[in-house]
Amino acid sequence: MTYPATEVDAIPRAVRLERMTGASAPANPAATEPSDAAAVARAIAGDATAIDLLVRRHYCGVFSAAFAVTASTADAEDVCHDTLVRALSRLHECRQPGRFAHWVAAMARNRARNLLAAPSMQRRSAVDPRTIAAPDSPAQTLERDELGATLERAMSLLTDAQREVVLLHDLYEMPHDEIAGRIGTSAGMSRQHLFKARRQLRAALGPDLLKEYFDD
Amino acid sequence: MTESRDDHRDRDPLAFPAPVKLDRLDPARDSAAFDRRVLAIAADALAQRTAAPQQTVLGALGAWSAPAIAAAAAIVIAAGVAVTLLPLPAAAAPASFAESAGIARPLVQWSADNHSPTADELFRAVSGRLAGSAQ
Repeated sequence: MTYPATEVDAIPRAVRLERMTGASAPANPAATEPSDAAAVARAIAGDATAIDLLVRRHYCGVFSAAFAVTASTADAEDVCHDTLVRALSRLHECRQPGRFAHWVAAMARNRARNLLAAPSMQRRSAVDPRTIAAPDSPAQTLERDELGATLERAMSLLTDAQREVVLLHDLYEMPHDEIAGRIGTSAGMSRQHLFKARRQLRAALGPDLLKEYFDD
Repeated sequence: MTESRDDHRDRDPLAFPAPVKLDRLDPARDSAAFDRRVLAIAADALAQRTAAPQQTVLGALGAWSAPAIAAAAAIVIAAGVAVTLLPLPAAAAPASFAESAGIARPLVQWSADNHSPTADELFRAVSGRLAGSAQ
């Protein structure tokens, strides 16, 4: 089985992480983007560039929170869009602008849970691990990125917390203490979630598929 | 075929497993699509903020007072209808000032008639008053 070559990251991970945290130490203050609190204040005043900045900075964090609940990239992107639009149009309700990331991530989790609870989503059921490596149908295989879909199915076997931790740590290289603050747990528990998530992912993908996903 | 470091890791239950490449799940992987999503979100957020009326103190008071005034009007109308239509209980004769001050009715009557009561009448009037107040 052959898979398409992996695309080169459009945005370096370190840059993405710095954008997500919104509170990085400035090397050059003149070139530094404003903190979340400042960006929220400017966005409330109607500054479109501040709104754009908040979306870019927090999209991936909100996506991770939504994906942790939905285990579906398509659903997570929908939740992400709705959550950010709602949050940015109600910025005056954000009582701690410096904790915008936590506020909007909690909003995304709630919205994702509501989405799953909707009657139209009740068809969803636990994924059978035996179907992990089996594509749904030839037509669907042509339409979708097969590797991405397989990875998504493997991720759906994890718990919500494991999914969020493994995304934030392994994709966005966020440190455990910050992950712990985001998901409301300890750094040690975050490591534990990462350990179990990686082990389960490697077991679910199997040695053949794992070669395609291994990061060396 | 040589065993990789990760084959060892997978067999050792205590070793921390190596990461799996998750780039395919990254929504920012395709920068053009990511930019489009960001722009769409920012545009929708700005549109919603523009469409939503600005909340002012007067506006909030107005929004609150309209239903309150309507409810008060409904209560007044209902009370008026009830007072008009429902029969009132037989009203007792209004007490005079002297009666409400605790003076026995015969004493008031005698005073009005300029009648001088006998000792017996006076005793019965006062004892009746006392008996009534004792109950």
